Amino acid sequence: MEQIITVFGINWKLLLIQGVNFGLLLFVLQRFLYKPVLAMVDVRRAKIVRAIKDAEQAEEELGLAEVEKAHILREATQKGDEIIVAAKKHAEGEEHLIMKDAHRKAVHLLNEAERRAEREHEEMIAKAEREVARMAVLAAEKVLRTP
Amino acid sequence: MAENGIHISLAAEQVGTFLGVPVTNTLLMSLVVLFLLGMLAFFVRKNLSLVPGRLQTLVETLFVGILDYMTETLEDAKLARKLFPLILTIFLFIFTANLIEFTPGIGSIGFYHPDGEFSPLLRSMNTDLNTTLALTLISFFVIEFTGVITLGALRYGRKFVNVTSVLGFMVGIIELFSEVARLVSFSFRLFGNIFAGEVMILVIQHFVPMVLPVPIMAFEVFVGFMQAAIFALLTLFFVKIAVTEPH
Repeated sequence: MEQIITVFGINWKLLLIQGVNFGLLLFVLQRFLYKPVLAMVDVRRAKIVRAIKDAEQAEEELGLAEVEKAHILREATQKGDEIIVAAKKHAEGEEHLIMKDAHRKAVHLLNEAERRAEREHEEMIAKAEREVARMAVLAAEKVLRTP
Repeated sequence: MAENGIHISLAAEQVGTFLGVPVTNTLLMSLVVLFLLGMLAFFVRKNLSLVPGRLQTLVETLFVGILDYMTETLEDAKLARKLFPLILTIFLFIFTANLIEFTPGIGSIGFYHPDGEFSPLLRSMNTDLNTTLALTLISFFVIEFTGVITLGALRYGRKFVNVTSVLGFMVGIIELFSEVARLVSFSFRLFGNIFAGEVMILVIQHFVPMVLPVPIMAFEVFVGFMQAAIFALLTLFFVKIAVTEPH
């Protein structure tokens, strides 16, 4: 044992110093290397987890918005169709009314024109009768006057 | 006088004395490693940002990978987080030391003693049993304390002192021996591997000074990485064994 210690130069002071050296290195590396680096890794990991969660949420929201959009579009189309149909119906009714009105008016005008024409016709005949009578009288006078 | 033969010393050479403590070249080397890792920590810390740069990405990947592996092995996220600094520091300390052991100047710059013996100023850190034994002792005590704290002194002690049966008692004694044997196996495994690498390169350099040592050096760096990983992983596994309930 004694020989081993001498041959290998083992010295308790050196052992202690090497131990202290190692302890010092352990302390320095733990304080200035391991702790900050691992803390940085943890911070980044937390950040990535949060980013992924945010992205997932955004995607979900996007999906919801898409659904909402489709819903709104469908509703709008439906409403538009309804309005068009209603307008058409309304227009048809109006057209009918206008046509009827126009027809009535036309009939009325025709009647009026017929009546007027008849009246004029009668008047003309009466006039002509009166004229014929007058002419006859004149002709008779002429005949009588002629010696 | 400079000798032509290869001079190999199992013990680290003493280069001075500071406050009554013998300062060896391996001690100086460990200070260099300390400084290098301190610089790494400083640079990473300074450039730390939420959007990581290259170095930060590398460091983060490494840390998170090791932490995940530890959590998987220990099956306890809290314990893994607590032991993470120790395991990683063991690895970085040993690995950095082994990585720079072939830097020119280490082992070649030194001075001659009056008696003609050469002492390099820096020597690969793990070729000194003092360093590896110090690391082993730290690892050993951490393993035992983690076991005691997690299981409680009584339940942890029952792993080694089991009086319910003769067989159980024998198994307990064997457990106790293998526990203490770790002190030797841990320290000598690391010391032996790195020291053998150094010696092998020294020998090869003696015969073929150029080109040939390069692949050997590359291999030794790989061995250095493996030994660092083995030291850290074995500590982790023994902690896992220590915190497992006795059967």
